[in-house]
Amino acid sequence: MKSRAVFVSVATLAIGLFFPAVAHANPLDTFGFGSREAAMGGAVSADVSDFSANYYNPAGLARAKGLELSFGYFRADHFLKTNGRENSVDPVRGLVAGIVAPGKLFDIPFAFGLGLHLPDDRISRIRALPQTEPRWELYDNRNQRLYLAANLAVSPWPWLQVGGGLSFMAATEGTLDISGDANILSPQNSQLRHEVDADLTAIRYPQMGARIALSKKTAIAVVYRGQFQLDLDLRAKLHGDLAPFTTAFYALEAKSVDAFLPQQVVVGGSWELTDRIRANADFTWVNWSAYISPVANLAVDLNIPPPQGGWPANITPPTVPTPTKVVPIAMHDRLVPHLGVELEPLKLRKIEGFVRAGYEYQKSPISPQTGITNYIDRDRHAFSAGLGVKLLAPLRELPGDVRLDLHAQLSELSNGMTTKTDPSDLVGDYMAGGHIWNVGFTTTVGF
Amino acid sequence: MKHVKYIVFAALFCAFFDGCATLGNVTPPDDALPSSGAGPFRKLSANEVQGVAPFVLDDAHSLYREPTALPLDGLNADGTSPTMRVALYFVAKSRTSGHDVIVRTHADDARSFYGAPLDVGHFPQEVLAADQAWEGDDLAGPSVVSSNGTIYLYYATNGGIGLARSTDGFAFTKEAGPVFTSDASAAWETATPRAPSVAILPSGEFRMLYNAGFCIGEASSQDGVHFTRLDADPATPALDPVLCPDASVSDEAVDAGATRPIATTRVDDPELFPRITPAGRLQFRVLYTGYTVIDGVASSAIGFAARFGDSGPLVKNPGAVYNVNKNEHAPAIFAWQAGELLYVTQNDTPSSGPAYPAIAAAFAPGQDTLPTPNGYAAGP
Repeated sequence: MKSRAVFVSVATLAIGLFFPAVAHANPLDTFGFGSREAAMGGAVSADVSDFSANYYNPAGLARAKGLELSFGYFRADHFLKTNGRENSVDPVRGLVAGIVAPGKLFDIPFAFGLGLHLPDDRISRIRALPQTEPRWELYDNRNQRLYLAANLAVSPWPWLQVGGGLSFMAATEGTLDISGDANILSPQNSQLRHEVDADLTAIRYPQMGARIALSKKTAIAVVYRGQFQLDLDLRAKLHGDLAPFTTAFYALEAKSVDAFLPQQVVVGGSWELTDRIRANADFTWVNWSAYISPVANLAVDLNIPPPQGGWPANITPPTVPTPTKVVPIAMHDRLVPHLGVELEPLKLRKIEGFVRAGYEYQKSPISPQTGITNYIDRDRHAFSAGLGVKLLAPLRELPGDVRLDLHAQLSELSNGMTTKTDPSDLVGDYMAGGHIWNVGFTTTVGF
Repeated sequence: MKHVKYIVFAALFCAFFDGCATLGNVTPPDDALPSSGAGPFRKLSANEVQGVAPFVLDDAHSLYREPTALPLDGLNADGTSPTMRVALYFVAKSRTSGHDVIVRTHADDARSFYGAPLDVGHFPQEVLAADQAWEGDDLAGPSVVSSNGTIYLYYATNGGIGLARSTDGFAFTKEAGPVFTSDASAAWETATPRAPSVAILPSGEFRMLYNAGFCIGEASSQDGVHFTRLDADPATPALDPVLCPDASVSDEAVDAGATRPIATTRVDDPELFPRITPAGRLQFRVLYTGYTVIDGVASSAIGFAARFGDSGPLVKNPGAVYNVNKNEHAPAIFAWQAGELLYVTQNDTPSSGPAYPAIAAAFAPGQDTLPTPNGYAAGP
């Protein structure tokens, strides 16, 4: 058993050393889920048993000792700049919560878990920008959304846990239909009828994981998260009479991908170095090369026949805009290393205290933006730290424990220059970089 | 231990209600995004200009047109003005002689100019009129630039490009003759040089762009008075212009996805505004008027062309940076920290009477809104 542990540990480290590192997004990918996990750089796939297992490794749910309820909050503020000026990228903030309900089925331990990230100023955001407009592609819009996951896990043997489930997101589909008469000479006689039909369609994607305890002090894990895309499909129709001149018909259909999460595979390990020190490492492969450009494909139909005698001199009829040629976004698969350590300097009969630190490095997956597109991104070094306290059987009515964890994470996006090949590019050369602060807390009540 | 219980429940309580405060809203676009400072521009709205938007200077008798902008409070290291105080020099039909002269006015907010339509009783001040035989009767196409306390005003005449200098921006002293005239060695020049635009490069050298037919040429000078033509393509024996019209594209090709060029018959009215990019490269930026014919109808639009380095041909951006189908032409630009204002000549189309040229303003970045305009400036 010991030699297996050593082999797996060395293999895991080798993967991290020999493959280039990474980047990804979505609120949990970037900022973590739960304060203990965020403080440890997200390196917990083999060392998780609370509600955050719903994201990091569903198999970990089966390790829960009793019913657990968790609530928390985090806020991530972006200080991202181009050419030395802040771009005011919206913060990501909201409630995190979850439940772990363990039990036994045919004498086999199993658990059900729910995990939720609920943004506190929107559930989801849609934004369709021209492909030339600069945007922080991995931070600007993709992280502004709700996350909900439900998982089941079992532990057929004490050394093996497996689990899986679904995550849910919402896609948008809508139609705007306007018809009627617009009397240019008599606006009060104009009548327009409009009809709005919008749907939020549920999108589900799978996740699954396994954890193997190689010894009492060593465990490994493997996790798969599926790919998903949030489609944004909007149609608008405007038709009617432009009295007293002519008629008009305008139809627009926009199809785009509001957010895309590539599939991921995580391989991780956890080592209890001493009774009070634990070290973890995760390596996440992210299939960024499958990323779909978020630019809308527009189809426009415009028909305004000239009135009898032609257009008046002071009226210029609109023309059909030239269709956009969407330039594919070029991205590369990445391997993201996560490292974490947890110390337990305080260990008394009724209270335990923890100090945690973590690091992850996300090499930008986006190719240099030398052409007309401006998907801004930079390599990200994320340093995190946290504190935790665990109260054991704090009340007679609460024989379990109460945990309070805090975290702070500083992400540094190294400054880098984007240079354009076309001198007539309307965006031009720019320097980009900055940092992101992420702070939060999580409380867990174990029964 | 009792206190810990209360703290835990208080934290849960706060987190729950904070999380429930979920309302939809419209998020503003990101701020301070990088830009070459050349648009695309949107015309000013009614809340951004006094009078009838997008016009900032409009007079059916004086026919204000062909503006050039002079920042009045110097320039920052990045070439932008530290304030919104700007003087405009432009062509107007003299109320006394009836000939085209060059006038000046200014605004403290880059929009509310002394002598604007609602600034009743005030008029821009005439600073230059034709009084030399080689000039003819009318002046046109002014370009103003400041260097070492001297304001250089270049202008177009029948006899070529003239120069007048001033220290206060009002009293100008002309050069005795034109500083730039026709040259038979430049085969592409089918007309007398006109529409000058002069800027000073970081090296201190004066650089002029001008129109002389259907294309735009370039010349350089160390003192702002004596100019030498530059060849955009030294590999060929001819003296080449830096910018010319493109070939026409058929409707079928456009339907198949080709971009319709904005200039197929003439490029004109260059506005040169070079800068050093954040990457340290000289970007030789030029706005110009592109003329074309679509379905038998002539039209114009404002385009952007540029190059890296201080010599060679310009590369056109394929789209228009300002296009309103109002015979827009003769762009001038004024940049400050918050963005760029484009001053452009375009037709005002009153409900009665014929269209006439006036000076409109447009702004970039288009998603931003300018603050409410100030009162009109106290003097020209």
